[in-house]
Amino acid sequence: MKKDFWRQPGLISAVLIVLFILTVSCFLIPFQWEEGIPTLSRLFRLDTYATTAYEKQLDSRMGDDRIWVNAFGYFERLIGKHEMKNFTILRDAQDFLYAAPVSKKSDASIDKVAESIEEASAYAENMGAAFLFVQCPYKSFSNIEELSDYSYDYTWQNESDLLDDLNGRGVMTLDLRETAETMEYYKTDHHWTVEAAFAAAKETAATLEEMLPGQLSTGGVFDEDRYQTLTYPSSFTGSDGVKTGVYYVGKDDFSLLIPTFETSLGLTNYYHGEVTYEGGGDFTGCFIDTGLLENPVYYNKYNACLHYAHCRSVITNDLAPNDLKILLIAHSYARPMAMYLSLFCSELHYLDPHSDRYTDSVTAYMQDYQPDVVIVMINEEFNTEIEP
Amino acid sequence: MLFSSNVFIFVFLPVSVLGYYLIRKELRNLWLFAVSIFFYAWGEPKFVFVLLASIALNYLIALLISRAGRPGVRKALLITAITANIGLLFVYKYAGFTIQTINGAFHSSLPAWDVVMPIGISFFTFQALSYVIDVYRGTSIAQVNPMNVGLYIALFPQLIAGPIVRYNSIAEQIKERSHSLTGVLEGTNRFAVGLCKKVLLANNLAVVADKAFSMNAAGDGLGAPMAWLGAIAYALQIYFDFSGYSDMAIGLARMFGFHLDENFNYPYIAKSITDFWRRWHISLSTWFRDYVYFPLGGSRVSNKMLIVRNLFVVWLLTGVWHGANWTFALWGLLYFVFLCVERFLIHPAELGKTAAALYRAATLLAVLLCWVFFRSDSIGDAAKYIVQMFSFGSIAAGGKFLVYLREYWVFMAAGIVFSFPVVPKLSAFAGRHARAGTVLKYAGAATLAALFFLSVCSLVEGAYNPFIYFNF
Repeated sequence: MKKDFWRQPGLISAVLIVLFILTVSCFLIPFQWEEGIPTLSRLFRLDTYATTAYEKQLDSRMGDDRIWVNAFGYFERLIGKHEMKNFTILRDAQDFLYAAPVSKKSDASIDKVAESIEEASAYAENMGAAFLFVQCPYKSFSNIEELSDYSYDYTWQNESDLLDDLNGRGVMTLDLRETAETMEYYKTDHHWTVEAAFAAAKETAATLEEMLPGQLSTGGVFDEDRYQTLTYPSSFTGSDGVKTGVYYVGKDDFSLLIPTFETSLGLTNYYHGEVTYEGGGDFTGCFIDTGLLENPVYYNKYNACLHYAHCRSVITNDLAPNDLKILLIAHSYARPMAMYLSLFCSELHYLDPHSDRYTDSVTAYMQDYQPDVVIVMINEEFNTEIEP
Repeated sequence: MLFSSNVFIFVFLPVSVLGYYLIRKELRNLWLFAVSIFFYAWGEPKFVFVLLASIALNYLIALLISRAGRPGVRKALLITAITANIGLLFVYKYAGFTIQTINGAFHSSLPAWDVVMPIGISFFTFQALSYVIDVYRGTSIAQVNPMNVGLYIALFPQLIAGPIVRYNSIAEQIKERSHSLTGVLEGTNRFAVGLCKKVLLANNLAVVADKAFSMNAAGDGLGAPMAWLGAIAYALQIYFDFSGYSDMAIGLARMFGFHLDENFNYPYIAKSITDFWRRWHISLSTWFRDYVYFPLGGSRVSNKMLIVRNLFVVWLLTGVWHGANWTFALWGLLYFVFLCVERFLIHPAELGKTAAALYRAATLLAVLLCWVFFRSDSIGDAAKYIVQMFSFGSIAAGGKFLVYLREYWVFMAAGIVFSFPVVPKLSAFAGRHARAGTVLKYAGAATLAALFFLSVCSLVEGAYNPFIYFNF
């Protein structure tokens, strides 16, 4: 029976499948040749892990071609799935993607983070600098009702626990989760939007004004009317969207707020001591990698802000409304935020201790730099070792 | 190397098939043997020596049996072969478990036996035994060419997950077989069907089953709905995984001109447990029937107790063949009990229509409960799981159940539908209705090609792709 069913048309499907296999093989095998020879040699030497690298390379070579992931994501979308990759990526009703949930942090680990922030705070205050811990509103599904049964995300609770701990230690804090405008995210990425980062910079500046009454002037740099929005529609696929493919939730628009007032800025980026970017000019010319924004193949537009991720960025503002020097210790959320924050100070140094980027002592850095304000916006332990 | 991997589909398969058809006809078996050894070496090169030793040993003993004149010598050689093969299996598969059991039972401290099991050892050992026994019985002629024995035991389509090919069913094909483009294309289709079953159905159903069984093991508030969902998902997973692998094996063999016997025949439509085992892993149940049950006397013995003994031996062995754990032994023994009940108490074939329908449902339930033992890490875990299934007070604990049902209902539904002979029915329909039949045939072909593409997408995307035969 089965044979009858598949007789002639069956051969057509088989021909299609054979052609498909041969086509992919023709592209793969020549490129894999280089890796194949050492693999064979290791196989003959009875190496247990002889083939692992070969398979990994082949899988990743195929994975580089987005057609597979995009097609699979489209299929998952068609059948209405809200999770992908065994629940490591979730999708809410508004098509926002969320990465693997964060587990509950122990009191001891929260204490440790709080300790390093308290040490930085004490050091800054001893130097006569103001200190502010900013609780960044990380994208999480802690409060997304429809995903509560999928998994529990402790991000929100961990943040609240850290804030309680810091407040108990007398550290000055700002909880951006209380400002709705800062909780705008990309569908496909784990970051907040550039507009949310602007709102965060504005809120932080307002808090600093309150902390240092009469000493600071924002000079109206956070007045929204003085900005124009530049949008690149359907151009951005963030880190979560890359895993699900572009047809699962589509692409994000990527917007920037560009000041309409005159700006004159300088930026130097360092990666473990090496200068990786140096430039200056107006806001766009200095901070934005326009080539990346206009590149139709490169989807991670977030990297256009401050010219990719770095260990340390040094920003100078020739037209600052005050002579404030800010030291910002934060992760990648701060990249667009630093651009806007720098508009109301004469200098901003941004250290990113996340993923072992900036690993030196931040207190030693404070000692050298002598900032007026230290802002910490990272819920991780960092190096506060005080050099003798 | 797994069939459901990119390296197999896009490198090994085209190279081995093209090489096979490009070389001279008389070299094809040699090529096939060489690529089979390479296929086996890919996962763990050292174990190639175990495979080659098994081939050499069984080749030599079978040859000696065929040349020995005296029945006593022939029998001694057969016993040597059985001891060597079972010994090999014991060393790699059961020694660790035996030591662990002895240490547990007698509070002794025998050193742990921690060896990695060569993949597919249960399959190729049984094939090797089949060869020697067939030669001993005179139903097959001993091969003079060692490579042909090697090819029989190591033929890569059936090497790591069966079906267990009987020597007398393939001996002629090793010597002479016909090749055609149609055969290659039919084999391709069969391979594609198997890959789709494995990648699209089994792998997705595994997510549900794994969650339920891990929740149970962790005491994580499983609840009755999720327990049932997990058990059904596992029943479907193992069917589509195993039958998918068999389809791929049959298809691959077909590409090289071999015709392997079917290994599955819609087991979940079985009318009874006896019927289930005529449909599930057919090559294993017939192997035990022909090489264990019949030699023990089968059903043609003087009293019922001997039949019970024979069934007990066969089902205990069937259980432990699947893995060195008490869960597998109990799984086999449960089938022993069910089959005894069917043989001596209830005769399913004689039941009326309603009773037969109820009995069919009871069969499915029994099979489902048996899978719980098969899948659990311990008998305690299995018992806990079954208690959860029938704890109707825990129905309210349905959070995870609703999530997994919502996310995987498509795969559950497809799994249930394709557990029934839908394709043969459609095929019959297509045969009866010319116009609709043609549309159906083309739609079927297009669907298969599309699903094959989707399976590859899933493999590239790195979706969950477990290999569940490591115990076997």
